[in-house]
Amino acid sequence: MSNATDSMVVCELCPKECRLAHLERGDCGVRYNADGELHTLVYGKACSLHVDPMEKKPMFHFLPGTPIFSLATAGCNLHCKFCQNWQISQKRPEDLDNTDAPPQAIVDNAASAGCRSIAYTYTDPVVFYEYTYDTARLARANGLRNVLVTAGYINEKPLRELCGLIDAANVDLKAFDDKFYREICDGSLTPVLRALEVMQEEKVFLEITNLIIPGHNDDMQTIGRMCRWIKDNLGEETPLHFSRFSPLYQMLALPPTPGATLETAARLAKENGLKHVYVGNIRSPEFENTCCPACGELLIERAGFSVLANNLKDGKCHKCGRSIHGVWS
Amino acid sequence: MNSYTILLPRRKFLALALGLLTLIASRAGIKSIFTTNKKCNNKLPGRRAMFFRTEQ
Repeated sequence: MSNATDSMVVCELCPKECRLAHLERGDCGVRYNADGELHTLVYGKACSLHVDPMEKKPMFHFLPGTPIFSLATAGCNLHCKFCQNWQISQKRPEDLDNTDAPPQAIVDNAASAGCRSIAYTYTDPVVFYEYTYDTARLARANGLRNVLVTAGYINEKPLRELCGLIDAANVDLKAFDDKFYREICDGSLTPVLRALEVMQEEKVFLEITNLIIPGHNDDMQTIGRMCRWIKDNLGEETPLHFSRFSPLYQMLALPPTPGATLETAARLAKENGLKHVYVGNIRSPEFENTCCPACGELLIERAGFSVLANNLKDGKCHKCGRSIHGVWS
Repeated sequence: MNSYTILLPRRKFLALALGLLTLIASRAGIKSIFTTNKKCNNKLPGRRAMFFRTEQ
């Protein structure tokens, strides 16, 4: 005879599909088997709440220059050795100072802070899926937009269900190399590429970030292959951000990414046909503005996270009239 | 002298008070934009999650 505490639970949220005994937690540290049911420990328990500039996500083609209410809980289903937010992503909820913040409170506070959108970010919204889902549904009912900032390490079924509520996403494509994902991130590449395809099919507005780490994912041939994959599968208009690595967490011995490496990668991406390529976490006049791919006119001028000028006219180049891929209003 | 009264030296008292005030101010500042400023309970059981199956 068996009872509920004998039941194993298999979490079907992410590709790891953790098989959990009674009271055992998944690899993310926030989901566990409670008497034969999977429970989440982070629903409504925010560890970070901030109002950020949209450009910090980074989202350059989605409501530029607007503030975005940003939310995270503890935990992550990846364990990147270079994690820039490891103080919250690699912790369990009980290790952090959390705030009770039910979805209604998030939406109310976002609206009162003058935000038109909410970002599920900092750690990974995959592991606080139910919290993201309920908040996003409520946000949409109140006229707010929803933005995921994620590594995209999620199974197809939950992703499709969430996509109906999501307006835009910045997906961190960590490398175009499965070995890198396995050895550095404790994940794998294929599910991330599939998640990108699914988001594209579900009409989520996509931008991609690739953090370049010296000696680990800075091979230009691989970066070139990644750019061609993005062009062939997501489209040449997909904005791509190459981001500078800073030595953190378990990769303290490495130097920061040289600016020249980032700019070489950005030029390579353009040579491979991508129309909107940016460099981040470092100032780069050549690659921080949005220019018209047809006539080269400067359309959005930026300095770091600030928008200095926006010369778009109804989402088009004010000079030649070419439509610029994005969500502008 | 026969006194059991413990008197903090003035400098130590000031340092302690300043430390406490800083702590209170920093805590208030971190959560200042949020109105539901309530320390939450991280204890089990949490909330039922989506997307799982059970096996015996």
